[in-house]
Amino acid sequence: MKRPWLQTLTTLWRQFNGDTAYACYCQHLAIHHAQQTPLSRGEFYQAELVRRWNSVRRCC
Amino acid sequence: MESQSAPTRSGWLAKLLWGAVAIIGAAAVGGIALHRGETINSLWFVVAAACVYTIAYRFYSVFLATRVLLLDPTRATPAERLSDGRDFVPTHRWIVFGHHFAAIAGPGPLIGPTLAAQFGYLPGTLWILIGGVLGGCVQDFVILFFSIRRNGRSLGQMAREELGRVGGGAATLGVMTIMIILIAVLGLVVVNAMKHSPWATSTVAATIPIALLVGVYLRFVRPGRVLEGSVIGVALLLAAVVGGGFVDHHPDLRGWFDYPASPLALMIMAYGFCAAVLPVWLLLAPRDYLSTFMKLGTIGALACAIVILRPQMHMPALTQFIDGSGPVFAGPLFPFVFITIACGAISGFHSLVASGTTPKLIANEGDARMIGYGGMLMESFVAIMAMIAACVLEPGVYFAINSPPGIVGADAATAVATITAWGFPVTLEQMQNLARDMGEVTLFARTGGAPSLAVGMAHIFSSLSGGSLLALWYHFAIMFEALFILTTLDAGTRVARFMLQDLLGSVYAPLGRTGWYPGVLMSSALVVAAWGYFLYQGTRDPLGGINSLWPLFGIANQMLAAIALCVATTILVKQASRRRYALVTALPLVWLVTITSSAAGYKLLSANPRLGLLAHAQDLQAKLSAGTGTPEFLLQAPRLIFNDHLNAAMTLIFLIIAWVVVFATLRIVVQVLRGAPTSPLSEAPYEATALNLR
Repeated sequence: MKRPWLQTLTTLWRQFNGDTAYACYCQHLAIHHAQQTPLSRGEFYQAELVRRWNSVRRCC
Repeated sequence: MESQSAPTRSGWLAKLLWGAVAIIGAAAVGGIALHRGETINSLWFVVAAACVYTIAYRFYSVFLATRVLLLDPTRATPAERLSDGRDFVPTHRWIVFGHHFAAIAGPGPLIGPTLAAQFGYLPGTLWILIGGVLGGCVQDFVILFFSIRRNGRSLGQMAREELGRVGGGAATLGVMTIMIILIAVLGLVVVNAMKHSPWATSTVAATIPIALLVGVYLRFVRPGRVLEGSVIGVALLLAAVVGGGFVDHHPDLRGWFDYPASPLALMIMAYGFCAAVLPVWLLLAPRDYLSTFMKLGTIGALACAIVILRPQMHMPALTQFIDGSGPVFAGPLFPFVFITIACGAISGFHSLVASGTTPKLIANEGDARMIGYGGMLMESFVAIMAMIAACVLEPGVYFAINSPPGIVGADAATAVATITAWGFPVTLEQMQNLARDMGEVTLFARTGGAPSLAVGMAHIFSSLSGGSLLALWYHFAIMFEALFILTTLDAGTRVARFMLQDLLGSVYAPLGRTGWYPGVLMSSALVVAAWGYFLYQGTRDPLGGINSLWPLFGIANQMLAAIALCVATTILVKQASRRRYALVTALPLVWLVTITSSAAGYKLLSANPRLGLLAHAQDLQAKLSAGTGTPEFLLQAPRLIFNDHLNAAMTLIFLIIAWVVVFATLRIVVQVLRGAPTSPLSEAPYEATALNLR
């Protein structure tokens, strides 16, 4: 049985914890930079972490 | 706004509804303010907060959005214009809200209100509500909005562009110094919760291998599957709380985790250094995932528990300590209640997040109100909950936990007698029973706020389990606080390292390269040494360290907020059509400059040795010259005198930075009023949005 609200909730939850970040990156590359080879999932995760933690991410 | 629409039936209904919310809110705030009984129910606080927040959100934030800032939902945001699939990504507003709240909600709003409860529940509660809706929420909202209009630029960049090089430089220096003090004070809070507590120490220690394990899982086993890794990690964390109880009851094992404060401080420093140097994927990022889930879950659970259980609060509305003689920290109600509450009402640190990650994710300008203003309302509610949890304790117990031995006496019997003589009865037996219930040897002199908050939370949570499992709940609360304090410590050390490398890079280029290991090691060591010094001295301070470090942190944090409001006011003043609304940021700014300057004035000039840093140094010097005091004191005194001078110098630096930025702002305001040309606004040009995510 299809439950659209459940699907929306699951998508939001996966977006919140970052599980969809790689798919989002691949999609962006496919649309805007089709000639580039995307990073692998592992490489992408690694590169993202380094980028994110180079700025203020957590408050007091 | 609805009040201007035609008086239709639904319009009248809305007016009636908002009228009712206003009356109930006013009644609840009035009830809190005028109540003078033995106890007061926490429901009053929840209702007052809920009504104040909904009214502020519905009316004041709409006023800011439609009249002051002129939010334009048709305008493309940086997330859309600069979309790169990574940094700039148009994201659903609830997701951004979650990320933003997780980023701004730190230990500050939990600890500040707990410490400020020494004045009684009333002053802190009023400031959390008023300061939140008129100060903190406005700051977060306007900075977020201005950053969106400037391609997601940081506060430092905006300060440079709008205020000039001097103002910008002062702002950057301010950020770095506040980071050092912040990490030191948070480290001290964790150390005070862990000293001579094998249960707490072993549980907090277990969070490190758990984070490493999750890090390896996310890197090698299932790359980037954050949810799976976090679920495993959270389950292990809960097991670690139970395991800590086992360690505590084991005669051999407990000795491995039983340390006084100073060695624990050194361990935290070693840990901070490792976290700043090791790859992010191994320790920092997985710890952050765990702490985020734990933080959101526990805060949500605490809110539910308070609403369901409606515990009675025992702290009086006002205590005699409003005169400045309080044991938790010295200083009169004005300005120290504002300095102490800090992040729960207005936090300068938020302006760094609001001009960092968040503006690059917002898909529509219209979302900025909910995320900026609404996110801070949530944070303010966390502060109200912390106030409730602290005031649920008997005042005698609260003061026994939070008073340093230098004030109430080193042995338990003297401490109990002193606190009872203040009019807050507490017995030795009561404290022993409480410590035993919580699975601790003693709860005396556990300054810093975290342990008393954990006792309060344990009381509330254990009511849900029929009054049992107090020790488990207590150590769960300690683990929860330590987890995200250590995340802030790791992340702060790392960011401060980058800032320092940036600075050193201008002297010797290779030092600025983040991949050059000698540079990384040296700058990390310098940053850790800087906060480590304050932390280590805090553990050896007879007055408990928190006494002097928390006000210093509060002054620094409010100073950063003043800088953010200076930037916002300058931007508003530069636009002729918005100039008359500049008061929405200028008034909180004037207030913040007043409280930070007067608090700094007290710390520098007060003749009372408990409050004035220089007076304290002079007092020690006089005793040292006269040779009075124990041999131990005579040995310690020169170091304490140096620390007083160092803290005074830091206070002076904060004061100077704040005033440099204020003068830079005033200069531009005067230029504008005279009609002289100023540096132009750096807003990105209009582009229509093609997104429809709402």
